[in-house]
Amino acid sequence: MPAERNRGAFVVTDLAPPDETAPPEPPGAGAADPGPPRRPRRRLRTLGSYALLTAFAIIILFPIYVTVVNSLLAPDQLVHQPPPLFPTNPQWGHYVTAWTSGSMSKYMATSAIMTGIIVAGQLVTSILAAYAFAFLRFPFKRTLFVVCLATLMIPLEVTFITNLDTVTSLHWFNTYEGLSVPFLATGFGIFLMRQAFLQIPRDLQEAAQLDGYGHLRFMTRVAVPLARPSLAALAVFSFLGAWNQYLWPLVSTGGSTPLYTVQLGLKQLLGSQVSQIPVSLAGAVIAFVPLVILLLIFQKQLVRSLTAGAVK
Amino acid sequence: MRTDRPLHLLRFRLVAAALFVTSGVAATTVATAAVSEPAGAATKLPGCNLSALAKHQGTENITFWESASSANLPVLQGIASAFNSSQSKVHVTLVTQNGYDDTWTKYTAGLSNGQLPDVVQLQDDRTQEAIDTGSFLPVQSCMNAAKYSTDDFLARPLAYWKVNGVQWAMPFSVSAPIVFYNQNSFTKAGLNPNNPPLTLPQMVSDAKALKASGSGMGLVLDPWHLETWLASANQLFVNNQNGRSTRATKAVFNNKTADSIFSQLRQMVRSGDATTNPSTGPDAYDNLFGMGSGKYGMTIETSAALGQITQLLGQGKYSSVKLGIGPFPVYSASVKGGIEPGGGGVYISNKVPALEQAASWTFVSYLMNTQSVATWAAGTGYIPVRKSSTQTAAVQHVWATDPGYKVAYNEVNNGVNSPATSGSVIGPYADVRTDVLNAEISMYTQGVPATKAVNSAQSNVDQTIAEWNSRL
Repeated sequence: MPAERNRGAFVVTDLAPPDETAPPEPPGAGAADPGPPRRPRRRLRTLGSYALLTAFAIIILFPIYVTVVNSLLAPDQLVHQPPPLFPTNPQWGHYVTAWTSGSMSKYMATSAIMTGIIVAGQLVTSILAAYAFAFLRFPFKRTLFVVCLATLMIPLEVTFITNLDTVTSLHWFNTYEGLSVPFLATGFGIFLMRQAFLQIPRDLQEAAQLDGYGHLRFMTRVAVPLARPSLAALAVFSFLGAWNQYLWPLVSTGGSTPLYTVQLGLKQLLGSQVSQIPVSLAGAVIAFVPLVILLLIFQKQLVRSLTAGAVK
Repeated sequence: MRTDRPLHLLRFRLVAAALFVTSGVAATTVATAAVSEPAGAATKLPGCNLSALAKHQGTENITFWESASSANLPVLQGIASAFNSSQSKVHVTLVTQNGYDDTWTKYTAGLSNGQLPDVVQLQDDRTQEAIDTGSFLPVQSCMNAAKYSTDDFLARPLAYWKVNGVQWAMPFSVSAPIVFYNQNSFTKAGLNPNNPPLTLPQMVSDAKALKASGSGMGLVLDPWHLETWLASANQLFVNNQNGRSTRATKAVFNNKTADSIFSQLRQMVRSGDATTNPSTGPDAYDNLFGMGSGKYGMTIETSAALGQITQLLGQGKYSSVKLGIGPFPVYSASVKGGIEPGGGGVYISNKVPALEQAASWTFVSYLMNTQSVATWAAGTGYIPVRKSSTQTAAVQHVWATDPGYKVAYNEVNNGVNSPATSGSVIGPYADVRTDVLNAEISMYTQGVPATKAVNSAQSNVDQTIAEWNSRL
């Protein structure tokens, strides 16, 4: 669902500022500031920026908070004016309903498997391709790289019918292969990893070569560990993309036991029932929990990768 | 159901349109030929080989992509299993899709890779698009083969899916807009709680009285307001008999009636007597929630929402709400027209073997028999589209316990039966509705005069239709 995607994206970018503003504090103390020390004013400024960031964070987190609160309300409380901002009588049963009779457990498992395959696939293909573009010399390297980048400009909708035909003729309709194989490689990932690899000094490669490292060993032992922040960013982005997919799972699954993913399941949960709203909100909360966990785990590395190179 | 149209699906609708264009090249030639034929072309219809099915040994398996909401699904499952156990020739499997928009997206994608159902339930505004895919067997073919009588059906719901004399689909989940009002608010405003507004001017004055006494009207921004009020005045929306004699090429609503409809709505909203909310996205139910909280004394919604609203508001949980149901307030008491139905039609695919097509009709005719229609209507709140169904114990019981359910039935049964009251058939129907809605919103938010809004709606609709038709 786009709403989910936005929310995810917001969290990603929003996590950046606090850490971004934090580092300049200690080193910037004397070196960058040649004038007389103006401690109180700087403290005020820091305070101000934190207040601003807190305000933004509240604005961004508020809809999520309301979602959680509404998922716990009884249907008749939903229509109350003004809307309650705290669940006085939390209906945890909505989560149970969403999980069991709403089949969220099944959809979550499907999404987890599909997303796992896609993320793993994208990491592997991006690392391999990016390594070639960054460290190897071969004919038409530049052209091929541009072709890779050009794929970024082709929206899913354009390749959609062809992919669907291919997947169907391979008998992958309504299978995990059909759900994931079309997304195993990504121009964005190749680009991101190539940029990360280009940061690695040539000397390191030469040193590794002198020590008898081949390409594969250099890649796995040196290049990939050094590019970890970018790798984490790529993992998170591809996770977000795969997890939030809607159109492709919709058309590439079907039959009497469709392999529905969590976003399709959410839509099914909502139906057109007013009284179902709290249950479908509970489903939405369940669906974004993995994203939150992922962001908490990768927060540091994400921020580092997004800001790395920003001032170089 | 018209209430169920999340905003983010608009994107998929565009994609679906793109899919249609790519996949329908071969199909369009067939379709245009079918549509441009003169009335009474039933003799040239494709065949429906019911006799082959009769001779056939064994069971034909068919699938039905249905778009029923999760609350209505058990009712449909009951009908399907009753069908399966009633005979051994045909076995139907229900496949639940996520609402009308997703069904259509999947269907158009299926045109390319062959993953198609035998029977599919599509929304009212897809009629022309469905015909244009060239992938449906008109149910008329099977009706002719089976010498099926439609005398028992309500005329307008049936006519809704009839184009140029050919019945393309069966009226399955049919609803119509009705008035929901709080009788307590009416009393408080000095109005008779048993007299909901029956005409548009009455609605405007009731909204004013409600506002003066602290509530008001909740007006969901549904894009079919104009069409419905035009139909209630027996006025066409688009040319060529609302697109039913030949393909619609122009809007024809730039007249005094539309001006008057728009100016009354405009006045109501601009004066604050009515408060609008979008029909999609998170605020889609604000008009209904506002009824529950006592903020609104009256609103208009599809009768398909009746079940859940009764469930939500009618159980005495809200001491301030005493739910009343009234018919859609017509344009004027002196002009005779009719309320157009809407909802979902059931189509049979022609992309499956002939035997399955015949099997599909066996199921569809069962779905539309007196008992099934009664079960479906009584269990969901949709309009029983057969007169005989209303005599069954199930429907009689529902009508007796909750007379509101009868309102929508009477609404589509009474009044004039004409092309103007049977709804329109337009290729880019959803876009046309958006054009009209945008004009409506421009009146409310920017104060654009009603005549100007109608004018711009008409010219935008003309352009939208012309663009679509030029691609055929």
